[in-house]
Amino acid sequence: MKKIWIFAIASLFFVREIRAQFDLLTYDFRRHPAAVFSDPASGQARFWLVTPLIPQTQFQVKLSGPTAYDLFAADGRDFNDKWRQALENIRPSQGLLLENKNLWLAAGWRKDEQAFRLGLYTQFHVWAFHPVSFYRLALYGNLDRPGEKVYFRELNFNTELVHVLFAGWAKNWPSGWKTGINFKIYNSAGNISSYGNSGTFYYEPSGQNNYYTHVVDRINLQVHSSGLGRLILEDKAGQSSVNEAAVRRDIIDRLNGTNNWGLGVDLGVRMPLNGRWEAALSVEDLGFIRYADDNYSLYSHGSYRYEGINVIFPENPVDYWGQVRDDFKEKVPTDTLRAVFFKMRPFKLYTSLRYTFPGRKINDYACYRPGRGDYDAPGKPHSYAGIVLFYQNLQGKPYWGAGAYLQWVTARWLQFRLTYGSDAYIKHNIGLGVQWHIGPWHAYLMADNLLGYTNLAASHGQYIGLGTYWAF
Amino acid sequence: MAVLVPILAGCMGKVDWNQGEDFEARPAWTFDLFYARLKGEDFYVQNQPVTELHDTIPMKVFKIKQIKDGLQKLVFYFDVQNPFPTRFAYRVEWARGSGVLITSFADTIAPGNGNQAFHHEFRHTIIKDSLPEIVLTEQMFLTLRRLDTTDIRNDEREFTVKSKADFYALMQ
Repeated sequence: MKKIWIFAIASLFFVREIRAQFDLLTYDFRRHPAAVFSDPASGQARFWLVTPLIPQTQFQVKLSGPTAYDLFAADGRDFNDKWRQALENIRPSQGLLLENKNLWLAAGWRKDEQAFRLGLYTQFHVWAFHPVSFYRLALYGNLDRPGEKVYFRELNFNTELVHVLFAGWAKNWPSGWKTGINFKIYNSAGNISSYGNSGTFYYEPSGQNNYYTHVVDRINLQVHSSGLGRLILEDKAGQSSVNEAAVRRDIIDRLNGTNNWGLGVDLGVRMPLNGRWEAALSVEDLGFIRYADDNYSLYSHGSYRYEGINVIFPENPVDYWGQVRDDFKEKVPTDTLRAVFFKMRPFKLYTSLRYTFPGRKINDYACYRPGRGDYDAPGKPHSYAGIVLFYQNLQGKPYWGAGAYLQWVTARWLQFRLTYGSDAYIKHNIGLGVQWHIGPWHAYLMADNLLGYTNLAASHGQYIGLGTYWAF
Repeated sequence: MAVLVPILAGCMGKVDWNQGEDFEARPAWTFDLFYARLKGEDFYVQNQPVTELHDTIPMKVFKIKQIKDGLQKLVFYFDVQNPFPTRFAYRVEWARGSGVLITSFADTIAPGNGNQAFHHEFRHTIIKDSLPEIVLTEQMFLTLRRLDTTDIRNDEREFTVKSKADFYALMQ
C-alpha cells in the first residue's frame, strides 16, 4: 500500500504538460485532452479521463535572439568575441517564453449533441524580454558613451503560478454550428511582473556645475508581486539570514491556495462553410485575477538631474548623502503598495480554417462500432487539415503566429499529425505527432521544430510530448 | 525524461560549455563625484581670513557590488579654475567609514593671472592591485588651503571645482 502511495505522489510530478503559447501540435487535435482549452468547441470522446496516475510529459520552451550555440559552439573563436557579437545582435523584442500546464485531474463526457468536461490544472508561465540597454550598461559601462540611454520600457517580464478549476460545455447545433465554453476559476499562488514602464536614464556630457549631468528622465516604473513580500521581508529568502523552514512552509501554504482569486472563460465557435470546410474562432483565458494576498508592489515615477554633491565647506558637517537621497525621493518617489490589484490574463486568440477529407477506404473500418465514434464525426473518423492564426497579448508585447496542420487518420487506432508553423521565435517549425490507442488506453508522441534536432544548441525552441490518457 | 535527456544530448552540435569559464567583460563606468563654486567671501568668516576649508563627502559608489568586486583601476579627476590672485593647495583623502585614511592626493593650484583664471585638471590613478583597500572607501575629506594672504574678500569671481571618477572593472 505504501508503495502505491509513493507511486501516486511521484507520478504527480510526471503528469505535466509543458508547452509554449502557440502550440500547433495540440490545437484541434482529435480527442486530445489539451485541445479543449484552445478550441473549446472541438469534439471529444464519449468519455475521457486524465488522472494523476497516467504519466504525461510535454516540454516546450521558446527563445528568440542568440542561442546557446552562438556562444558555446566549439568553433575556435574567442568566447568573449562571441558574447559581444551576440550582444550586438540581440533586440529588446526578443526573449524567453514558457508555458507549463500540469493537468492534475480532468474528465469529459458527452451526451447526445452536448459535451461536458471539468478538471483542475496548474499553469506556470513565464515571459521575459531582453533589457538590452541594461545589459550594455552592465557589460560595457557608460564611459565614453554620453547620451546612450537606458530604457526602462525594456523591463518587461511576467512569472506566474496559477491553479485553474474549469468546467466546460460544448454543443452541436442543428445548423451545424458548434460552440463551446470553459468557465474558469483562478487561484494564483504567486506572481511577479513588470511591464508598461517608460522613461530613460543617461548622462549628458557637459554639466552646468560638473563634468556631466546624470539624468533620470520621466521614469514610470512598476513592479507588481504577490506572494513575495513575506518570503523576502520576513523569511529573508535570498539573504544570508534566510529562515529556510519558514520559506518552505510559506511556499507550501501558497501552493495550497491563496486569496488571489480570478474568473475567466475560454470561448469557441466552429461554423460550417461550404462542403467540408469549417471555420473556427476561439479565445483562451479571457479573464482576470484579483490579487489580494501578500501583495508587494513598487511604483517609481518622476525625473531627476544629478551633477554630484555640491560641497559648501560648512562649519558643521552636512549630511550630503542624506540630502541627495531625500531630494531623489522627493523628485522620484517610490511608493510601496500592499493594496489589491487586478490583472488581465494574457489571453490567446485562435482562428482557423479546416478542411475534412472525404472518407476513404482505409477509414472504413469493419470493426467500427456505432455509438463509439467521434463526437464530431459519428460515422467514422476522417483525416483533416487546417490553417491557424494565433495572437497573444503579452501585456503590450503582441505575439503572433501562423501555421498549418494535417491530421491524418490512417486507422481508427492510429493517427498522425504534421504541422508547419512560423512565429516570432521559430521561422520554419515543422512538427510531427502520432497518437494511437489500444482499447480505451490512448498514447501519443509529439515533437516540433524537427529541423532543430540537427543541433539543439542552436535551436530557438523544442517541444517533446509523451503521454497517455483514457478515452472511451 | 531520464531516457530522453541523453538522447537529446546527442543532438547537440559541437559545443564546448567550458568556454564560459573564459568569460571576461571589462566595463568602465564614469560618475560625477562633487563640485564647488566659491567666491572670495567664502574664504572669510566674520571678515577674518580662513586659511583652510574642509568638507567631508560621502562615497557610496563601492556599495555597488560589481564595482567593489571587479574594480581594477580608478582614475580620479579634479578640475579647478582659480580666478583669484592667490595660490591654493588641495588635499583629497580617501577614508573608511571610521575615518581611517586609505590614500590621499595633494597638489598646488596656481593663482589666476589678471582676468585669466588658472585652469587645470589633475588626474590621479589608483591601481587596485597596489591598493586593494581602496574599495573600502566610504568618505572623502577635501581640504583647500590658501598659501598666501592676498585679500580676495570682495572678489566676485568664482573658484570652481569639478570632480569625477572613472571605474574600470573586470567581470569574470
